[in-house]
Amino acid sequence: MPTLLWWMRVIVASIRVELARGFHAQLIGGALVSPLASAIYILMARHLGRTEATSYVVLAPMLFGMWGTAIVASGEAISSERGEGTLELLIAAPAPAALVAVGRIIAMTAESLVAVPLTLIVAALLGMPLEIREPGLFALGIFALVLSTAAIGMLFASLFVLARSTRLFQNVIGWPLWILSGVAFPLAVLPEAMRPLAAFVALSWGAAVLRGAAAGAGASWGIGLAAVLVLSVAYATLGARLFIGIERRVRVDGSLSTF
Amino acid sequence: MVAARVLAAAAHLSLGEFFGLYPPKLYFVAWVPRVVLQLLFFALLASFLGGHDYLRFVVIGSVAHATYIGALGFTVASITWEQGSGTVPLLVASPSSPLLVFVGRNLAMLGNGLVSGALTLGLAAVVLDLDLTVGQVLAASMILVLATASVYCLGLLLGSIVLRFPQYRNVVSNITVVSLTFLTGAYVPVAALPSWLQPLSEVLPVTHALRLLRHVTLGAPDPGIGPSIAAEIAVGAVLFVLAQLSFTYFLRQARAAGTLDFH
Repeated sequence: MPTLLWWMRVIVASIRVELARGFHAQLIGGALVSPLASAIYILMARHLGRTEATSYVVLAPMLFGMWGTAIVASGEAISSERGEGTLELLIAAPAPAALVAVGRIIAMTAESLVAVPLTLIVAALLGMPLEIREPGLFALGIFALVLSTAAIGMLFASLFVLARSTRLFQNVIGWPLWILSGVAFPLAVLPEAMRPLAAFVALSWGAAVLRGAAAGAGASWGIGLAAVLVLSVAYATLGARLFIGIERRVRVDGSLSTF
Repeated sequence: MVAARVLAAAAHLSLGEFFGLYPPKLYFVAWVPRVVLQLLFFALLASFLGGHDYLRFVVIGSVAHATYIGALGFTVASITWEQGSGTVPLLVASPSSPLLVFVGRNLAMLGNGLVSGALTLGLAAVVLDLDLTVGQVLAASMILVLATASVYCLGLLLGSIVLRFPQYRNVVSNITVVSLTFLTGAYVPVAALPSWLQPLSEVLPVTHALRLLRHVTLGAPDPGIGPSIAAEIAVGAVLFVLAQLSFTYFLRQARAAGTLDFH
């Protein structure tokens, strides 16, 4: 129990440090870019008269914004520490470095939620409002996706410890996820061989729950939510194991600065 | 002559900086896949939302998208890297024009925009099964050069502005990229935009070049080749002049206030 408390204190302290940075550039970017991007998707559908695709074109930029923020946050959590010369100190400190990264990612993920109402407002202004028949289920789906966002951030943060050019990889990592998730278009559009991979992307299940909540037909929402939670736990566990393994390795062979 | 030498030296440094950032191997691992996957994503989205004609429209729009993403973000960022490395005061003190250096030191980013656009165009030809003649390929290449050059001028202008608040360089370039995608007709025809936004599209880089590109590659209605080229050049020229004015104003103000290194 004392260990758990200590871990919580580390996470909370890390969240406070991140939030103390205030309304910084990434938050402004996340808040503005997702709603602007949603205008592109929405206008594409509106131009073609595809109003029935509203849930795809409104949810896609919103969810890409959330996960995209997590990918950027995880990279920044490592590259900013590396840039300021504090990554070595962080790894050497008694507090688990993974938890510091978790705290920063949670804070930035929470901040990225500002894109959710802004995107809904843009959709309404452009004449394609997303009607949400089951707001409670929608909120539950968003909450589950927040957990998955933090978990995927943890997974990427562990990999970024080993990469000097994290910002370059941030540019490319999102795209395969956006394609495989079937958030912007149904999975049926993908080649058949690629479709099963979507089952491993929490975003795909979460988007299905949100679309179900919007349409008011949520018979399978329990399975979707459970899948998001299971995958989140899997990402977080894998991320934590990787982070701890990598941390141990770089401490033993003193190779942290060589990446 | 001296100006040409300074420009060439700055361009040479720019190449070194770009390959320092993206060594060739990393370029193929981290940048090329991004260009390919971006095209694939928008092609799939277009297939879902519209028919074959819309897919053709979007895939060629993606060529323009790759071009300005490749040129703009790096151009804006690299101007602030000059500031970050503390060399702006040295440039101001040197006998050569700092403006010339700012123009030259991003030319590799312009090259990246061109390579990204050309790669996407090649893929587009495969995806759409376009049987392009040598003449069409040459014309499309010239149009890409034109579009990249005008985007480069926009990058210079934005770079000169974010020198005042360099921490927002990525926000500014990301918002600009999304706005260009929104407004230049990359994925939605300009005519489908709200009517009050359409005049803005006409004074942005890429809009006119993209119309020409669709005409040359897809046989879209002729937008008027001469006037479109003139319009794209005019947009780039105005942006270039504004960038020079903005740089000059920034340097004068920062010198007067002694804040060249404190932004």
